[in-house]
Amino acid sequence: MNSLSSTKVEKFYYLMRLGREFELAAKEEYMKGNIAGFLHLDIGQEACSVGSMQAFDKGDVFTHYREHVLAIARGMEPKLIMAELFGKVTGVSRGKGGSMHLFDPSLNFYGGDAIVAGHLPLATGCAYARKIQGEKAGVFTIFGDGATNAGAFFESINIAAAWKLPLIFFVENNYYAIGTRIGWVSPFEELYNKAKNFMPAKRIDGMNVCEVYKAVMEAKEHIENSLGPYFIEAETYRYEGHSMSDNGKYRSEEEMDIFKSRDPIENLKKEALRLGIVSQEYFDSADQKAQEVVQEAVEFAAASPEPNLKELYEDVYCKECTNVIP
Amino acid sequence: MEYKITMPVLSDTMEKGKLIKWHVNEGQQVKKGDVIAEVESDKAIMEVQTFKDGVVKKLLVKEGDEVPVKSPIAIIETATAQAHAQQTPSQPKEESHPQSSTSSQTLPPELAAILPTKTKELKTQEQKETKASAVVKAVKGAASPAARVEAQKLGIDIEKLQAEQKLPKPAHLKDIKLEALKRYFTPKALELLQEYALDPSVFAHDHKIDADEVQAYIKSHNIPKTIPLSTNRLAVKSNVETAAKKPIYHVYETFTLNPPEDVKITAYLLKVIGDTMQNHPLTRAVLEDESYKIYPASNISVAVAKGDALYMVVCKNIESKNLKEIDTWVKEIKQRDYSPDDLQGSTFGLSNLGMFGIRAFDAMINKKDSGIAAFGKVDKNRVEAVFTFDHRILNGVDAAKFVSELKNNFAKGIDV
Ligand SMILES: Cc1ncc(C[n+]2csc(CCOP(=O)(O)OP(=O)(O)O)c2C)c(N)n1
Repeated sequence: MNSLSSTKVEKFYYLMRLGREFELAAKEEYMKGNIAGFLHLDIGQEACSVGSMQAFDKGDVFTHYREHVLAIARGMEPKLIMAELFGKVTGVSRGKGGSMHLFDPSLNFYGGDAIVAGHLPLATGCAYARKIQGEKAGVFTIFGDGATNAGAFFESINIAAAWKLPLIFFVENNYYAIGTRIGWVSPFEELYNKAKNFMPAKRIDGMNVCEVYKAVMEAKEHIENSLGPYFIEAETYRYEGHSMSDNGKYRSEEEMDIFKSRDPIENLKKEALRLGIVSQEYFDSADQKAQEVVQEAVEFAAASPEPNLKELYEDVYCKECTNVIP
Repeated sequence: MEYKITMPVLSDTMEKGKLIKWHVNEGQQVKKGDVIAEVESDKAIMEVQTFKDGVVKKLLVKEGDEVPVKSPIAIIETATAQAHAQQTPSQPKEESHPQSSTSSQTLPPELAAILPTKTKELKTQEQKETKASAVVKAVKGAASPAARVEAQKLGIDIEKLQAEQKLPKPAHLKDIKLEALKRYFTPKALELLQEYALDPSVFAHDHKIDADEVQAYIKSHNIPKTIPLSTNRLAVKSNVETAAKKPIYHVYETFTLNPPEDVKITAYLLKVIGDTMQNHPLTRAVLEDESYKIYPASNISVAVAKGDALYMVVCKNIESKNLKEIDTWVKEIKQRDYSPDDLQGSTFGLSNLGMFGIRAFDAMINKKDSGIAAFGKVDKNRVEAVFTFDHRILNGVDAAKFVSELKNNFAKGIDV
């Protein structure tokens, strides 16, 4: 953290706090019946979402379904996301995608693929296109530990490495694919081993936003210099169940306590105060602001209209795409 | 301000929820994020949190109640949290001492934790208890969640038993249940329980139950032992069921045999029947839709008992084998395992129960065979045979010609 400016640290803190408040509100609204479908919360993993998106500020982003905080950190407005969760027409995907599908081409954010590892070949294809175009900014893709057991994962790291594509693979190793612990279905729990023969691969502390930020910065430099893909494994943990209908009770209390003691938000704050680079007043006002923004987002979503029935026939085919390679 | 906590919607398919357990009492102070109850959805038991700080004003449903989603289950008073906390009747008596209670509530938690007041002791004790009952303590070892819960209930140490290789890895619910039963039943008694598919709960679990006790129960209640059919028995079952659906009739005849010495009687029967089949094409036929398929070879399926199992093993190309070769085939047939090829391709069958002293019997036609000959005990060169024919393939005249030629051929005898 020493080498980071205090404004960066403040930004990390605010975005993570905003993300967590957003998720808690989403959880509450889901329980009230205002949000339907699936809802996968990122609580506990905010450092991965915020650190990576702050570092990877240009280029294309392909994500899995646990993507609210990524979208926020990418710059998507919380109220548009909340409205999307509510299925309202004001939502970022006009209410048709919901929690798992937050797409915004203007932010190069292709987010929320519901098929585990399904977005990895898409990211690979996009990286291929970017390479052919000779563009500098590459592609970032994020996925869970479960996805590293899929065939699509191996095919993607293989071809990305063979063709030296500008692609960052970022795995959030939260140890569980729903209730399946990674070690039960994989010969080891340290997943960077799966990629290290293909490309530079490292394991980092995914509960530490500064470490995530630095690792992604390094990776970005690597891909921008046409050195091929880069693999990051971030060790992290989700405090909630896999989705709203999962109670997460397959994990022990001890394990949960260990990870909660490494909470990315509280620890960032503690460390910044210790070093004296951010004031207590900032944290208080950031907390306050995050709550207000989320409160507004919920009110906006609740007050927004449902999509019109004829919306069903809109956006079935893409008419005009911006930010997409012709 | 009143903040209503409602029965949460925990999945798209959830319509009602059951309140399993309250984690708070009326009057208790709660903080945002605290678990206040456990509810059962259509998928799992889940925790309900409060999203606001306050005091629990009223619990609107009882443990065990089932209510529709979105209906209120509790009211939290958010504005005047502290005032209420002091008035509520369910607060412990010691708490009514105004000084200690206010001071511990207004102090930051870190400070409250080190203040040596009675209130503090009481509170932490209380908190510990709720925590312990709220979360099932983790059981170590590799096991399914259901197995863990059961092991927890029964106090079974999965990790230790796995280290001693007394439990499989991972352990499943059935393994834990079996482990629990071992406390009350001797190994022999457990075997009997399984053999007779007995419900272990019919025995009082207050002493070690041995095989004699279980046996006595089985006798006195006349409980049958269930033996599932082996694959072979299942195959035989389906064969004879199809056989029973065929239009058949019987021909009875007594033959005089002249078997050479040193060969098995079955080999002799096979050779004579096989040769005779060469003059009777329909005995080499199978029926397929609207036509006969007549094969050149004399292939006979022979009933072979091996232990409990019954096989119809096919002796092939009898017409081109000599008696010695067939005898060798018959002698080794009991010794070996059969390939699918050994069990198909026949058009006629032979069954022999003479070695059991049976005088005469009839047999079921094997698969698509045109008929089968059943031979009884040879008594001074005389033997009774019963033929079963598929009437769709051979009619009475065809059968009569075949059997009478067979009779001549048996009388003639053959060279070895
Ligand atoms: C191809 C495919 N298989 C199964 C599923 C069901 N499913 C949804 S999420 C998930 C677990 C994925 O776990 P992980 O990749 O570790 O990501 P996490 O949710 O932990 O972030 C599964 C199995 C799916 N969506 N797609």
